[in-house]
Amino acid sequence: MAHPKRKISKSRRDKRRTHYKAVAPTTASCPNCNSVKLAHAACPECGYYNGRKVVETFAA
Amino acid sequence: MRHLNSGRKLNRTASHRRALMSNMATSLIISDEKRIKTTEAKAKELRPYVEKLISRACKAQQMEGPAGLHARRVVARLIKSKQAVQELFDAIAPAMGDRPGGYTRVVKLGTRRGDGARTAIIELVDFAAERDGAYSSGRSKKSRQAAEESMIEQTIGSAVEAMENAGDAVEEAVEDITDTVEEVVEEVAEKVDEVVSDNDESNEESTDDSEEDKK
Ligand SMILES: [Zn+2]
Repeated sequence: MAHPKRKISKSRRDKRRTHYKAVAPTTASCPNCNSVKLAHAACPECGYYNGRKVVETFAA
Repeated sequence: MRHLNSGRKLNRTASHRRALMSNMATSLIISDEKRIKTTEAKAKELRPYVEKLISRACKAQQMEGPAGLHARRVVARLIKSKQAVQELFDAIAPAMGDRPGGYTRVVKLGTRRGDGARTAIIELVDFAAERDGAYSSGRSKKSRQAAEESMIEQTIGSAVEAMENAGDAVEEAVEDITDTVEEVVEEVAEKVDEVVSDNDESNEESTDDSEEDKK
């Protein structure tokens, strides 16, 4: 069976991993209550999406 | 090649997946609000599934006799609940009118506690419009602008009202102050009168004394 000839050094392993990054979620401000919300999703504060009340929330 | 690879597996076997879709479609059709909350992936998988059922029910309305019955039976193979089939053909299909597809709407809600799965609501568009009342399902830019303008008018109106109220309060306060000032002036005048009369009396007394001295 084929095998790697050399162990990957810590340096090469870590250099590879420099590109593994967490990506921040895209946020938008709610046009109804101005709080920060996820883009393309109903507002967790007021429950509005696209000018409509979509869900009941604790706040409103 | 990704031939024949459309759709999500949802971590289930084929039969489990079929049962899941059937159950979700039934839940959506039977629910009073005509909406269910699931994960985003399941909601998106359910969308084409129920849309096809609703299309079939809508088309069955124009059919006569055995063709309509056949449509019911085809749908009944996919959703096992008789109640749901009845609801779909007798209540939902007539309510959809001549909407050319797009009977459902998926709205994302963000992640849930526990497993952090992205959740969403899937609902029947026509029934959602009924629930909102004031909001029509498709709001045009014009109506939105009109709503904003009316909001602005309302705020201006309330501000004007507040200012008028404040004006009234100031007037009242001024009246109060003038009243008290008048009262004080009256009191002072009375006291001055008293003092003056006292002085007069003592003057008279003194004149009396002087007259007595003369005698
Ligand atoms: Zn909001």
